Amino acid sequence: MSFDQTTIEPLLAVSDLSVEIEGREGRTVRAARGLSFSVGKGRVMGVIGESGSGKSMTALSVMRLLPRAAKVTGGRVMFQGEDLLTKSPRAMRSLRGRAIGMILQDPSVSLDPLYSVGDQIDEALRMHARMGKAERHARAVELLTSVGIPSPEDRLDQYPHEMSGGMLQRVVAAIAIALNPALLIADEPTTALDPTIQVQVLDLLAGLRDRLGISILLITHDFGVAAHICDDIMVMYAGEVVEMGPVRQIFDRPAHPYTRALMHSSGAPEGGNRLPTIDGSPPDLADLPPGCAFAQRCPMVQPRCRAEAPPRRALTPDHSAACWRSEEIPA
Amino acid sequence: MLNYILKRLGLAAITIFGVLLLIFIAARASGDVTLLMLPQDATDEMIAAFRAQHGLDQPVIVQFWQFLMGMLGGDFGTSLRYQRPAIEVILQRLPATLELTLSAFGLALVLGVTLGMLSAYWRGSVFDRVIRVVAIMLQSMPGFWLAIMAILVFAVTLGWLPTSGRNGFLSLIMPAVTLATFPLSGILRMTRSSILETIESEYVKFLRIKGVPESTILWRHALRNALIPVIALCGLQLGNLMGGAVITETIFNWPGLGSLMIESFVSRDYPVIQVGVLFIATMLILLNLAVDLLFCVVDPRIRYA
Amino acid sequence: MSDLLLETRNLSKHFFFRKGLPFARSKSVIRSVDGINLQVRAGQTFGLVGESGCGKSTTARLLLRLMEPTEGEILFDGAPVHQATGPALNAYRSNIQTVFQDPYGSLNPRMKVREIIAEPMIATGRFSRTQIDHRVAELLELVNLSPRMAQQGPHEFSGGQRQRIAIARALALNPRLLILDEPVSALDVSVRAQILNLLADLQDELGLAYFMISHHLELVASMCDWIAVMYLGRIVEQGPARQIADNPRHPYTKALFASALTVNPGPLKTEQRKIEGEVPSPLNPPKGCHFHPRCPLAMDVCRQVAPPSVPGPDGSVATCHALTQSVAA
Repeated sequence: MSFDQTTIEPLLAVSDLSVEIEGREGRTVRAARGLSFSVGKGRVMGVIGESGSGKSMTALSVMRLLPRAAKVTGGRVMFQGEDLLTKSPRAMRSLRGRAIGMILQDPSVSLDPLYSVGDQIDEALRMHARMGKAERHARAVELLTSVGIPSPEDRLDQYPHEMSGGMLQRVVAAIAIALNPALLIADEPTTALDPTIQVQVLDLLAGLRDRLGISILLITHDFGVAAHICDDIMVMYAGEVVEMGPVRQIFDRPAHPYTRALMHSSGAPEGGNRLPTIDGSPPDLADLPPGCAFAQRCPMVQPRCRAEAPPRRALTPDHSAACWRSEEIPA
Repeated sequence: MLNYILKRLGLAAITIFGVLLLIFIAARASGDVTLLMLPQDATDEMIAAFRAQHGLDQPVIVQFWQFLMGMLGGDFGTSLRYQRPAIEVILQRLPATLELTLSAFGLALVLGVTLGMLSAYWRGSVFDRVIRVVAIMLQSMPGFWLAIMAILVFAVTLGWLPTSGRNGFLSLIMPAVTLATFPLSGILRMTRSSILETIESEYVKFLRIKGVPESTILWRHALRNALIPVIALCGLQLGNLMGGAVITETIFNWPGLGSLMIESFVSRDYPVIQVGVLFIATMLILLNLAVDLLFCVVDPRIRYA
Repeated sequence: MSDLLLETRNLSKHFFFRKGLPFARSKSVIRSVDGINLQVRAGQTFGLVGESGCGKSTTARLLLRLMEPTEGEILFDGAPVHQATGPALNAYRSNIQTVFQDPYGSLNPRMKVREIIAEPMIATGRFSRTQIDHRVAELLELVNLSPRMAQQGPHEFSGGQRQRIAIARALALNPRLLILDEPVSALDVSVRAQILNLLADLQDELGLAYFMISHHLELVASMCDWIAVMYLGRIVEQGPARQIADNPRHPYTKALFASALTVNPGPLKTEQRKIEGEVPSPLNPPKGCHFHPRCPLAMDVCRQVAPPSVPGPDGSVATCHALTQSVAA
């Protein structure tokens, strides 16, 4: 695997993306503010952030499936050389499920309870591919096999309520990859699952990348999950990417105080000690202070941070962070 | 499945037996039919003869036993008022009631589901708001009052529709529409909220992710899921509809089972009351069973064992 | 070793189902909790670990007396409480309180914070209005919230603040034991650390015992003094936390530790050992050792006979046939 992602045309390149949500009483929540990132072919990009950081809104913007109250107010989403934001709804629909697949957090509610699993796989194939009935059936069996479901022929006739969470997430993954998409977005795909099953599903995703060369945008709040399968990660805070780079570099040398604090408070406390915490709470996205959005919680804050928002700058060719004091952060 | 149906039918037989026993005793407790049927100056002999002829001189329990035995042999008793087999009297009135209730129910179902669906689809629009206000108004108006107002406006003032009776399609409109209003607004509101809930669901989000068109999502997925609570509501509304029919038939002088039951109660025509109740109870129980079986067809999560 | 506070002896909860026609019914049973023996010590943290459906929440409900056990005993301070009623039950319940997983669902949105926290006190009928107001302010300070928040509704608070309110409510009657059912799994990472620290502070300050239920083994291992691992209604291994974490003996405990996705800044864990398959249905659990279909060490005897309890160092116990084999060999 080459780390030289900058020389190849990335599969997905989001630049300067902004999303606003119309709130009550004329409040406008700025869910994403000038986001830029890219996902290379065959790579797994982890999007890490806490609730309200804008990570799910980012994924839904790429899919053009934002909720009613939210809209994209600027930027570009380049996918395979085309801007998804300017595509017609019809063209976008034919792209969804075919070129871009997506997995949601809770598999127990991701499928229609009234149709069999086979029917719901078949629906995706019917929608996008010119295949005969027998061909589609064969493909469905093949898909279930490839996501590691034993005796797939029998499973096709089962209904969602007859399957466990782990099995359902495999079915959802099978639907997501049914038409060999180039990009798979996984929004907290293991959060609702038990630990032993969580590892199985993450290994499945890694396997899909290795076997099919799919690029994956993995959204998670869990550094452990990201560490397990990601090549690169981007850390989001208050609608911005505060740090991005290869996973190893970020773990070894975090370049943003938020990344470091999040990483250190993720683990478990050691023998009676207290965990390091991040004081305070995230800023109000409808009423952001000037300067760095993390300034009010930052242990390294300086007067400059409160006045002037730091731009994201490169520390190595592929590791960047938005902090005035990146170089001074301890590992 | 078959076990379940048999079990339900067994329970139904017990329920019907209970209903019959209750109505048998209640009807007799409400007063003596003999004095009502015979002339004022009837002699004691005439009274005794009438009672003996209809078995009314026996204890109630014996009468009930004879009635049950007769029923098993196909004899449902003779109407005291019409002097004809009670079953005949009932069957004669049945088509009118079926016509009224089925058209009312069909109207409520079709309009309720359609308007509810559109209302949900265009939620927040003027259409949605008007529909919701009208639905609440209709649901809160008593059926008999609505019927009388309809007669005043459409029959008396405008003269578009006949005031009463059963005489062709025009005469069906007012009774059917007034009978339909209550279940209609219930079905409409249930459909609306149920569809709204489904289209906010995660699986609908996942269908969009799959690239399924909105129309397919609405018709194939959202509607089918949304109809499950609507079906449950329909089961309940059928009972209400039967009750409503009694009032509607009386107001519009509609010659159905409902008005027959009222007449029979007034004239203490026990055999007709008994057979009528038997009929209505059996019909309701079978309809409810049908509704429960329909759940099975629609929802794979429900399996009766 | 500190004093024994709560003990269960052969505690079981079975759910019965009947199917089929009348007269031809077959009975089936789910052994949700199947003869477990636990000992919670005063001022210490007991961790119960397992995956969904293993019976850990049922165990909590039994301890809280929200459910009647099918069999077995619960002893508090040496006195049986599993059949307690009236004043004895009330006394037990004021000593054992709980904090739930979801801070959004567990607080009544129509009540003010004062009413939420005061509810257990009002229920006893033993406190005056001023006593209650005083105590509510004290509790809010104890969980690092401002007493001024008493007049606000729960919707005005974040998830972490709500969990603090839930903890304050649980502490209202000065309990000696808190049952914590996944207390931080619904919270964001940065908030999670705050709540865990608060719980540790409260334990030091008030000498509380915790009975913590979680699927997060790593967390339990670091927070607890004693760990019990549950699988399909049975305890497969228990012992001092350090002992279990450093040297797990049961294959399922090992698998759980292997599945924990640790974050250690520095070298990354690349290869995870994992176990195949899923937890089988509790309606029809595997014969012999429940874990044998997923166990890498499964032998013939495991498929037939329930495994014996094999004692280990420092009072730990694991139920596994493989351990007896290695002892014999």
